Amino acid sequence: MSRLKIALAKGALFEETLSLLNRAGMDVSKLREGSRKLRLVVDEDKTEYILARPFDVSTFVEYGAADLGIVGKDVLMETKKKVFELLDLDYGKCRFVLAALSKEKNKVEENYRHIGHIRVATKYTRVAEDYFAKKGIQAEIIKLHGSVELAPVVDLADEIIDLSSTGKTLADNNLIVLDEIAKCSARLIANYVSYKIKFEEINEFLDKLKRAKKELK
Amino acid sequence: MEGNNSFTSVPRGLRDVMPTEAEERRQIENKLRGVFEGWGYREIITPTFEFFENLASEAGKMMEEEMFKFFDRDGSLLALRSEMTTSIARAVSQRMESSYPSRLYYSANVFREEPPQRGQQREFYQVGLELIGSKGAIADAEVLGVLLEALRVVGLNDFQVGVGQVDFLRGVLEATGISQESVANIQTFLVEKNLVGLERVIQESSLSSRDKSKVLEIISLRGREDVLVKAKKYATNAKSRKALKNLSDLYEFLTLFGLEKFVIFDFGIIRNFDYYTGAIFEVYIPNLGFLLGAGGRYDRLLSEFGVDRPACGFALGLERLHICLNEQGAVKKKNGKRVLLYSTVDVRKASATAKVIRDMGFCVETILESSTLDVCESLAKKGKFRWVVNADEAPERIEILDLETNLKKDSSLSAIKGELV
Repeated sequence: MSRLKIALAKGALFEETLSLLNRAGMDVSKLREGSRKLRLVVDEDKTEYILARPFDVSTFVEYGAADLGIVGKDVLMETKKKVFELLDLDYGKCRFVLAALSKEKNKVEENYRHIGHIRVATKYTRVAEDYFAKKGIQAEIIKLHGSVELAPVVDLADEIIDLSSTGKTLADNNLIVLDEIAKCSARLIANYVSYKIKFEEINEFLDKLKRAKKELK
Repeated sequence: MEGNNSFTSVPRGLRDVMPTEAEERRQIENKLRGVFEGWGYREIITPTFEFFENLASEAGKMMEEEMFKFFDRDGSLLALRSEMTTSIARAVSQRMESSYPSRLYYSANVFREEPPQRGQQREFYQVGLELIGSKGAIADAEVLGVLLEALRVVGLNDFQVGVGQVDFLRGVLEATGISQESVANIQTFLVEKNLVGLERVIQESSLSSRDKSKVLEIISLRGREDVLVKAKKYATNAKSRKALKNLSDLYEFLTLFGLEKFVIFDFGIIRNFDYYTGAIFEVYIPNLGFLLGAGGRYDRLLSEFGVDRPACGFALGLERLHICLNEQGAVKKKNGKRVLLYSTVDVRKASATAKVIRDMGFCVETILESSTLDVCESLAKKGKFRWVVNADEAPERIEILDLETNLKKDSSLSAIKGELV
């Protein structure tokens, strides 16, 4: 049996990922140590972990630098990497929403009727492009790297597309949801060639995760 | 960083192939040619660009967006080829007699506007072949047989070839009686390799709970010939049984070639359903991350060009193959019989001597000015020469420095062949 290389996203999903792996019987003590190492080998489990930024996990997996990865669906939708999506892990739940200032809602709609296009600020430009293309709406998409909710407040944009889990950030900024674009959660992804070459190992790991997921329910 | 200087840069995703890589690549290519020609395949060279509408037929449809398009002077839309199969199908239907199977191979550059992948940028090289005009498992087995032998002959020692059959799952789905739309939906998620989405559409579909688990079981059916036996219980209609029979026949023919042990049957291999019509193949190499190559049966393509002929073929990424061979240590480094020839006094003497040694079958470079041993030795080491030869007193006396053993010896031009070993 050859060693499995698994890329994990450091960030919002990390803690829940560790507890899932732990329930699946994997030794995650090294990962919990919080060292600054970006590559950890757990010999007993024949597993190598690669710790990466969420947006890079899908890249590591696409190129086969990692066989497997655990990452949010939001990242997969935005990066559009060609990876094998194996399992919905059901945690890290959130949704992509289109939102606007509650008091401006009518004005935005009126504007759209007049000018025929709207300004949208987002971190997720490809998700935004796909969404508006599907709706047949012409939009000016403004890329921001953070604090997207600020954009309508300072009149940088009419609307925003962002991830929302509790809705608190939106409410704090007087934003209301106009449309839900997609539901997201953590996913197990695989490199397609790794999936074929390490078929037994990956399926065994997949079964472990499936069992761990069920136990929680 | 300096601005874009058109004299020093090339467009994104293009690159120069420098002599060492070019030599190694030709070596690999020549071995492949040898195998293909041994099976009776002949090379075809088609235009680099063609009418877009010809390239955008069924095979190209999935690549329409990725094609480089431009206008001819009369306004017709042209495109650079993004793969070779469609061009060959066009050429064969226009120009080749159809009474006998056409066995054609190619080695060519193709162009795709896509994010870069390993060994595949906007311009890359494909080597492959097409067997046009023959159908059935024996033809599939021949194509697969050439593929397997080619991989072995170029020196790959670690590879897997997965073989699937598009009609198996298609048949099973048809037998359940669900709508065409549901089938299309299921196929989309399969092609996108999204099992999460797939499970959802299957759960939401009108399939019975037995059929739901059946479909999910089928796509994880994978293994040696025993999997063909396991698959039997899922084959519920004529189409799926025929697909399965095709694979067992294929297996039987491969055993005739002695190549059956390289193949893994896999009902989870899904490629474009609209294009492929039967057996399909994929070549996997550990650590490559991307497919080395793929192929299969595409019986409908030729009819788009007005000729109804079945066909089967495959394509390999030549640059990817080179990367894999290098990683597996299977590329022969070329510095074998190279001689650097110089004279300290008379360039003409060096040139005349070079000709004699060259005619003996060696690769001989001459220093085109008077030089010294020190200078030549360091040039030779950089240039990966095996021998440095001084022709000052040729033909009677020749001084040879062997860089492999670091020994100097004297010889004469008539006896030199025996010394250069």
